[in-house]
Order: sequence, then structure tokens, then C-alpha cells
Amino acid sequence: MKNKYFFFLFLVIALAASFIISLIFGGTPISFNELLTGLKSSTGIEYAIIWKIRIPRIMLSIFVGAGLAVSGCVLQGILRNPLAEPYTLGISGGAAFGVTVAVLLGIGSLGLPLLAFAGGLLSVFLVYLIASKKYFSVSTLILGGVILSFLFSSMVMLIFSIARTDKIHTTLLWLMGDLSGADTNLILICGLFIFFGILILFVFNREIDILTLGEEKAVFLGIDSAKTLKLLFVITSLITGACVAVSGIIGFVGLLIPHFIRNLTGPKYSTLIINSALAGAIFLCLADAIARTVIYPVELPVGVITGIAGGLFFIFYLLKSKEWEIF
Amino acid sequence: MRMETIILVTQVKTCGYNLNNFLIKYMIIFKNIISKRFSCLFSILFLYNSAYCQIPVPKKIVSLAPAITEQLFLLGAGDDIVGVTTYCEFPEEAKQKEKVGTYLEPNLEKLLRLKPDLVLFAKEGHNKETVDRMEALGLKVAVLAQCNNYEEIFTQFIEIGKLTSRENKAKEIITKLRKRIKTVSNKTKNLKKPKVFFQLGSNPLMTAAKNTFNNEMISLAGGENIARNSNIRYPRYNPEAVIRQNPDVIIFVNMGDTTEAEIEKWKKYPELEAVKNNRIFMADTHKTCSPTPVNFVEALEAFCTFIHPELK
Repeated sequence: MKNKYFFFLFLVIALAASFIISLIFGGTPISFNELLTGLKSSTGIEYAIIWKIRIPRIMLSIFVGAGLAVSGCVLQGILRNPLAEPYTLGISGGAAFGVTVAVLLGIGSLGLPLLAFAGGLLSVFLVYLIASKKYFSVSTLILGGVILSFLFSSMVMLIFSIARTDKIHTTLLWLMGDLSGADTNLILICGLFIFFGILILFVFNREIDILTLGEEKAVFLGIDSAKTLKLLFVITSLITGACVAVSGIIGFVGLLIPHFIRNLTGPKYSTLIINSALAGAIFLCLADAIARTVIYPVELPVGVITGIAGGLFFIFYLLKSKEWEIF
Repeated sequence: MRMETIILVTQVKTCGYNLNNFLIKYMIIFKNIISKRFSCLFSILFLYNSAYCQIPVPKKIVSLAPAITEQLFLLGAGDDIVGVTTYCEFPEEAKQKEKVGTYLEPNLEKLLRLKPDLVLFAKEGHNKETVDRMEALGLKVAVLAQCNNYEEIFTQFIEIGKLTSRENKAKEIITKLRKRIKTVSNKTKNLKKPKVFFQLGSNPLMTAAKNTFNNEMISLAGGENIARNSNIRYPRYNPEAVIRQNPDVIIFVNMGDTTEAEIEKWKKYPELEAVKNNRIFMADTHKTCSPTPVNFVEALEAFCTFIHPELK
């Protein structure tokens, strides 16, 4: 029991540390004095860099990291599938479709995240319809999600093969994940969205625990499994949709972090959700700092860093750990 | 020795209009080996061939890149174009031409049906297999390399002129354009060089760095590209780096967003010299990004008015 709080505390401190590291080293390193003057002043270049570029961006990476990790961890539980991640149920395909349409129509900075969100929701809505047609269960949900994801990716490819190259380029860059572009207000809205989403999921932690035993057992234990599944599916989708809208498609966070945390602190969802949120935030915050710093002033797509760093780390961890149980 | 001459003569008959190049090659190889008499014989053959085996002027050209289509029209070869890509939108007449597929994937069947006697192909963005397949189908394909500066753009233009037997016209155009470049660079040579940020799309922020014709455009127009030291030609650029380097002028090309929205994005940073002095300009996307000789010079002149408005 003590151990649990200790780990939580450790993650909180680590998050604060990564915030500071990212603030100081993300890009060209700034000295401590520069940091202080920048934080206090309200004009000048230091001020602009710290308050208008670095802090919003770090906040965004923290929100998105937490959102993706939690939504992945809940989906892995309720779908009872270790390969589940936030994008399994077709959101990425729908969002990519929305972005492609936005780029084609020439809708600018604000239209792009909105259409990405709308595309993601459209795909979620269709999955929901397909799954509701039969008994709302895990298998119909997964199948519906995978099919729609294919459908939308094919539509994106269709548009790619007939659209102009410069427009394709914009969409491709978006698909690789990008934390630099988002507007400050948008980051705030997205942050609130993700925060309340995680809060609701946390309230339902006992139901998720029971659902991981299987739908039948959940029904016997007095849970309306179809109804709970629907609710959890919609909430995770909204969280993921908000993340995708502001940052594109950043892979690996939602898949890797929950496994890692589950292995460290056990499968109980009350702790798993909070710890995953913190770990996801730390991971993406540091990954983005690396993406900005490696070949400064040129940036790498953050999805590349999460993929490479996360993948290597995960393999290493998989080989090191003695036992490996998913559920 | 005689044996070799005979082989050579038989090859002369078979190899059609590639003959001249072929002969020149052989002459260089044999010059040191064989006697002067033979050399003379080769020269006679060479002259004979230049007189009677003229390279046929291509009358049915397919262009597989927008910039190439535009250059063909510049050379007055527009009427000889039988096929273009779906991206070829400049000049206006190009839209009327038969489409043979996209920039990335030409439709080979359609291409063959047009029976072109010359296919012009841009190396950038294409794979070699497509060229190999077209050649295997018996098409005459000319692959044009990617241009990183105006010299290369000009050389390529002359090359296209040669391929379409309009070399003189190409050279004439280039001479005029060179004068215009000279005028601009002479005017800006001794002026103070303002720092320039060139934005190629804002979401994510992209720019043009070393070894690009855009970079050259900026320096010829008397500016200093803040991203010039990056080794990646078209890098994703950290917005923070722009603020730190504090450009005096920001030039952007429109990639989807409205002009006002693009300018508004920079207005968030009143610390920037470019924002303070209201020196954010939109350049013509087509002229700035499509590397033909005329576009280059026109974009350069536009850049010059942005960077040095005092020059008239």
C-alpha cells in the first residue's frame, strides 16, 4: 500500500522534472537567468519563446500524452486485448480523412483541427451504429473499428492519388504527429476535454475492473455490460479525438505506457488510470523535447521519436522483466 | 585495324540518330591508337552523318511534370504537347491537354496510345522502375534532374530546348533573363542584408534551406535566409528558432490558409522585427515554387521588392 503512494509521488516529481527539463533544453538551451527574466517579463524575445512557444507546447504534450495513455489503457481493459490502443477503433482513419478534406478545401488553421475532430467522431459514430445493430459487444466493436479504419484509410489514399502533391505533403506531415502548430486557446479547450474525460473514466474504474473479467462475468456481477461498454467507448473516443485534433497521430504512447504501468503497479484500474496518465504525460513531454532538440533548428516529427525510443525501451524492458502477464 | 573500321561502319548504319554521339566517343578512344588517316575517315563519316541523319524533331511530346510543361510552352512547343499530368495547370492552355495520369503515376496504357516520340520526365519524386518500364515499351524518355539553383534551372531549360530542337530560342530567353538577374543582384550587392524567413507552409512550419533555389532567390534579392545553414533542403523549422533569429522580413507562400490568417499567426509575436515594421509578405505560390527560368526571375524580382522596398 505504501509502495503505491510512493510510486505515484515519484511520477508526480518526474513529471515536474520533465516539465523543467523540456522548458530549459527543448530547442536551444536557455540559462537559468534567462529563464527567470523570461518568466517575469512581459516583452522581449525570451518572454515570447518561453510563454508563447515552449509552455503551450509542453502543456499540449502533457495533455495529449495523458489522454492517449489513459484511453489506451481503458481500451485494452474493456476490449480485453493487449494490442488495443486509442486508434484501434477507427478514430485515426476518420481524423485523417477529416484532415485530408480540410487541406483539399483549403480550410485553414482552425478548420483543420475541427475537421479532424469531426472526422474522428464520424468514424466513432459509425462504429457505434454498426456495433449497436447487433448486441453491443467487444467483438462487434473491434470488427467495426478495424473495418472503418480500413475504409477511411482507403478513402484517404484515394484522395492522395488524385490530389496535388503539395496538399498531400501537408496531410502526410500531419499524419506523422505535430505538436508545434496548435493555437493556445485550442490547447486549453483540449486540455479541459482530456482532463474531464480522464476524471469520468476514473469514476468508472471499478466497472472497468469487472469488465476485464469478460462480459458474461460482468453481467453476473451486476453490471449492464453493453451500456457500460457504450459509455466507456464514447468517452475514450472523445479523449482520443481531442488529442488527434490538436496533435495529429502520435503512435505508441497509448499502446506502450499502459503495459509498462500495468507491469509495475498491477492491473487495478484506480491506480492504473492515474499512473498511466502521469507516465504518458512524462513520456510525450520528453519525446517532444528530444524531437525539438536533436537537430535544432530543424524539428523531427514527434511520432518518430515515440516510436523509436518507446520501441527500444519496451523491447529492453520485455527482455528484462521476469514474468510478463497482460491481465 | 581495318577490322575495327568495318565494324564501325556497319554500326554507323544501324544506330540512327544516336550516331553522332557514338562517333565522337569512338574518335576520342581511337585517336591515340590509330593513324591520322583513319581519323580523317571518321571525320568525313561524322560530317556525312550530321548532314543527312538529322535528329528528328519531336512532334508529339508528353510532359510528366508541371514545370516541364510550362517550359515547353515557354519555348513555343505547346502545340507539340500531346499529354500532360493532372497537376499541369500553368499556363492556362495546359489544362486543355490530354491528361496521362498524376505526377507520381503516369498511366502507361494511355501514354502508349498517344504514341509520343518524346517523353519528358522529372527525376524528383519518381522511381526508376517507371522509366525502365517506359523504355522497355519503346518510348524515348528523357529524364530531367532536380534543380537546386538557377544555373541548373537554366541548363535544364536549354536541355529541353535541345530535345525539342529549339535550342536557339531557349538560349535567347536565358540571355534576357540573365540580364534581369544581373540587374537585381547589382542593385542589392552593396546594400545591407536584412534577415529573411521564408515560410513554406505553416502547419507544421516549413522552410527552404541550403541548396535550394528559394535560398538562392533570397540571397540574390539581397537578403539573408535565416535557415540557410540547415543541411536538410526543406526542413520542418522550429518556431522558436525563428523568434530567436528575429527576421526583419517574413515571406510566405500560401499553402491552404488565407493570407490574413497567415499574417495573424505571426502577429502573436510582436517582438519580431518583421511584425513591428509590418514586413510580412505573401509571394505567389506558383512562381516561387515551380522552378522554370521565367518563374525564378519573376519571383526573384518580387522578393527584391519585399526585402528592399527602397529600390524602385
